[in-house]
Amino acid sequence: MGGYALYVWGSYGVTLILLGGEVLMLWQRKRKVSHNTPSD
Amino acid sequence: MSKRTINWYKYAAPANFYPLAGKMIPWFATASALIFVVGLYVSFFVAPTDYQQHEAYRIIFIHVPAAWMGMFLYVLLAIYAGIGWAFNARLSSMMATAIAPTGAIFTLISLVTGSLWGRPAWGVWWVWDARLTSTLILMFLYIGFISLQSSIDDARRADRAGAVLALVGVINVPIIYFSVQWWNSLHQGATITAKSFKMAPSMLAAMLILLAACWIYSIAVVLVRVRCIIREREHEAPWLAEAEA
Repeated sequence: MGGYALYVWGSYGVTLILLGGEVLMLWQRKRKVSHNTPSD
Repeated sequence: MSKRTINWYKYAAPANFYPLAGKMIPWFATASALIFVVGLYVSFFVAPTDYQQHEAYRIIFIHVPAAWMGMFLYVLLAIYAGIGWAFNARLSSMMATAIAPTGAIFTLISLVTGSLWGRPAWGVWWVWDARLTSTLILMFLYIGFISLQSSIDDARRADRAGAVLALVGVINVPIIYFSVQWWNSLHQGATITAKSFKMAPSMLAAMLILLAACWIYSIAVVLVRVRCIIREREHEAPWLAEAEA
């Protein structure tokens, strides 16, 4: 990356962490709601 | 001969929207993942090196779409909140609540990636120029909206309070957009305008492909979140038990 690896990979890494974290938290919320909502 | 028309207004009811959203989510999630892969390939292997910023410019392919998404999603949030408040449409308010975390995350991504771009380009991690400051204010508006709604126990009162904040704060979005024209800003001006674009076609393609990926990703996660909100608020409704059976 021509000496800019920290900045470029850092940017995409932060993006992956934040979007991945959002997906993970959403999955956990979905599981919690499914568990708490009884279905016949 | 019968004329079949779809009554779209029926989807304003959570009971009708809930199964529709459930069917849409897998398509948007899959499309988003595929388009992200294509966009990243074009960003790193097709778009050439910039003659001025060298490889550091590749941050633009995630920074610009994230910034645009932060602004678009706030306007969308304000529209849904306003409709929910004006027409007492609870699904509309639920959509506003569902959009907020995703918009906040994209705004945070734009601030962090912008800082990582600013260090090699300008020599500093942060400056208090108009665009950066107004984008930081947008982040505070998102946090404020989420915090305000979380602090009020009654969901409908929370929706109304959030709608006021959202509608007042939406003025910040055009300020962010026009800040580089109105003030002497360190941040560069618009690369893409209605009349032209000042970048190579392959670079533009990479940016637009990743923007599309971000949009489709946002639709998928907002639909999942709004379904969770519907279940949380309507958990005693008989239709919900039938829908999950």
